[in-house]
Amino acid sequence: MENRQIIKDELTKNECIYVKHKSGLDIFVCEMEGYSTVDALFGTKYGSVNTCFKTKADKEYTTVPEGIAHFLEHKLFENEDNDVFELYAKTGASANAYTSFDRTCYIFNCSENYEESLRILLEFVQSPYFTQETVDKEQGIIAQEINMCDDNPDNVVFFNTLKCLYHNHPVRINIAGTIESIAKINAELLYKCYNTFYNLNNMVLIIAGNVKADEVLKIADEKLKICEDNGLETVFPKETDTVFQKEMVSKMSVGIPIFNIGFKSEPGSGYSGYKAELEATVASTALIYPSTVLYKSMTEEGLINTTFSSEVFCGDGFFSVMFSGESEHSREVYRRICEEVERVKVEGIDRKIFENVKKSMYGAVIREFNGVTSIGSVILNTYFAGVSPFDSMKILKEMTYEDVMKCIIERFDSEKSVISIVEK
Amino acid sequence: MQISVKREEILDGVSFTEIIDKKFKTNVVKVMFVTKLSEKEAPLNTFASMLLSSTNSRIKTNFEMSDVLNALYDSTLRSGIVTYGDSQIVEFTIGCIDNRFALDNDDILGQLLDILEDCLFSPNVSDGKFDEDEFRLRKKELIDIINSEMNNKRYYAFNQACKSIFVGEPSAFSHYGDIETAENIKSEEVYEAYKKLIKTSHVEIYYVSPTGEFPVKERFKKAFSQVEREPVEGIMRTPSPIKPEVLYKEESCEMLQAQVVMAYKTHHENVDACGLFSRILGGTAFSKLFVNVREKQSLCYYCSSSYIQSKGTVYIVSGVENDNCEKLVKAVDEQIEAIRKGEFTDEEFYNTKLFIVNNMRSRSDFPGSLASWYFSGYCSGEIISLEEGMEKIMNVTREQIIEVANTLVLDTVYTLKADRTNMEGGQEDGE
Repeated sequence: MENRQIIKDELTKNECIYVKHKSGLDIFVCEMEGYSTVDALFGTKYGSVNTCFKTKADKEYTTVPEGIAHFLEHKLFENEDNDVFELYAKTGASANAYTSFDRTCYIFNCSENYEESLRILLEFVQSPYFTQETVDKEQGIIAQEINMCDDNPDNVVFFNTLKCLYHNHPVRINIAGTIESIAKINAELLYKCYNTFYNLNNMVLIIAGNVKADEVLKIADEKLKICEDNGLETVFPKETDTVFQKEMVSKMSVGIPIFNIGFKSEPGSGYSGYKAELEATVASTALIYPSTVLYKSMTEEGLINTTFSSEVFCGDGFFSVMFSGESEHSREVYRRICEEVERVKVEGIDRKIFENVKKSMYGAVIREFNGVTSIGSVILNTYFAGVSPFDSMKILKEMTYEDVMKCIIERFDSEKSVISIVEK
Repeated sequence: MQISVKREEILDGVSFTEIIDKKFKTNVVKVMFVTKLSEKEAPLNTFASMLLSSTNSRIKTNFEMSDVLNALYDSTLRSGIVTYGDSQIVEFTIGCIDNRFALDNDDILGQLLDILEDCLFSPNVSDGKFDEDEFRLRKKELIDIINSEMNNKRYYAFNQACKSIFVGEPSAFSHYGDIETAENIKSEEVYEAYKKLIKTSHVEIYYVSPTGEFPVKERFKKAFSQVEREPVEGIMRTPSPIKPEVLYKEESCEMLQAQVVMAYKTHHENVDACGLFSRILGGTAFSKLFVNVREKQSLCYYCSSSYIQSKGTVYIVSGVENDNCEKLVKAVDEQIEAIRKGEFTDEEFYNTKLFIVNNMRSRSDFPGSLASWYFSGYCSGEIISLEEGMEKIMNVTREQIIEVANTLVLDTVYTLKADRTNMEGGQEDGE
């Protein structure tokens, strides 16, 4: 019997089972009574930022073309005998995958016969099959995906912000790469990346919903190949704490201009990094809270509309707070935010607003525990952040006004802020 | 499944459906107003829904509304507009965590219902006009929504295509209208539209809850019985007339990838077979379009189909290189022709059924999705359980799919070509 650890949240009564499997894989199982569906995520800590790496077997670091993690995700769906979607078709499951900055995840959702779908998931992700012919075929499909993303102004304005904020960190490159960079990808490079990052010691399996932990672990025993830890090291180019450029403007056929304002700050990791992320979320929400003078005046003057919002964007080696929206006067919005940040550093945020934001975030966390898919995402996000699945509730409860003020003082520096605009 | 569903007509033209499942941690209430879709009234109703969901007689500004909802543990109050057949559906949805999770014993749902009730029956109006400031702000929002349609090329292409696909029919009307109409909307006419919506709409209310302990039904029964009502049934199923000749429409836009929207129409009555046909064609990752047009021909990243039951229309949407537009249209037509000839395996057929049934069963885990299922049942004139819906899908035969395919006629091909002539990248004016 594997060593099982039960992780519980007392308030919502949610719990999940964690097992460090003998294969090297971390497994989380969340048995949810009364639910019909099952969501499974098989993920690797491999995303678009991991472009330079080595294992203990390598003498030198390898640098790979931009977009290769995403390309690999596409190609893994094709195995030697058939297409993976055809296998899933027999079980009725909906399958998909995605690549982000720091991860690649393979997913299925089903409401019957999850055992068979789980076998397919574990098997295909462990069975790469790349040939030059299949690689060439994929170039056309991914080129269209890249064009689709490049036609999306939201995508362009976001990536331009990252290009402004970061000098060297690969978070500034597009997840799918470029049509030129993917042309450099071949079967050999795909195998190199696969063998480096798809080691089970670098991966996680999360399964939630109408499942039984015993059955899941039995299938894991049956399908998982024991992996030796390959001593993976990913390196990022040195990043200074200044921004690369203050502004970038792209011209596109938009009906209304859009903007993204970013504040760069020190990246974190583990529990303290996750705590910083939640504090920055409360701070940025409070700064542009609808009852603030800033929000009201910008709305009344027609500088912003209801699309105006904030988010914290962070990961391995990057941390930034972003404000985005639609405006004909983006630079004025930017100026007012910077001005407000300086005012708040002196006068503080409204305490009632702080309490309301915390209460609202508490409600949002409970909502996340309401569904199979959202619980799977919570476990995945916390796993990648290096914390326990239910830590967000604990951090929120303990978060003080002073914590949030400290975050504003340390993480909202106008000198380290940028604006990206997409306009006609 | 452990769901209990009770539907009853609580007043003439007002139905209430209570869906209880103890596994949920949230409560959801949806109030759907079904009204006739008209070119003049659609934007007024849309505007009214925006005003109604942002303030009421007690909560006078949208700023205050956001504050109150946040303090109620991230509760939501949203309005939305959809088309079904030749009807416009104006919906209001509230959602909140269940009271058992409240700190300090707050009555979250009770307070949220008070707000919704005020929004619907006691709006922020004086002397027959909506509050001037809110009216001005929401008008700007409406104009911004119309302008921002162009920001999403796929959405823009689809909306443009619908104008051609449903030319001369209410489905061609925009819920938002155009800029000129929006700029000229007057507060009095929005208020009149609101009163008409409350008076004449058929109303469907859904309450999805873990306990059902709140007297939601009684509250709405009382509220609707206190207003003047002359409900008119909506027109829900109006298969779109098939054009005598295929309409080819082409426009262009500054972008990299062309967008293609194809519409096939049928007046076949077996809507389950039509829906299943559409899934076999392009509704799964093992469908004809995915396997042949994307995977084998590498023409595109996406090429999918969907069936709009109320209009008897199957859409195919894709994004391709300009030079490949004709090739795509031909490739789609070939796949439909293949189904017409029965060129799909029993396995493809059975697996597609499994996929649909799997999706249907999954709905029971999502409160909003459960409410939508029963509302779709009302719209299609057949309110059935998820299990009954699954059984109907499993009973569709191969022959029925071939029969549907042979009634499908290509009606419209809309292409939004990519114009790259004046395109430029971002300026790298770094320090």
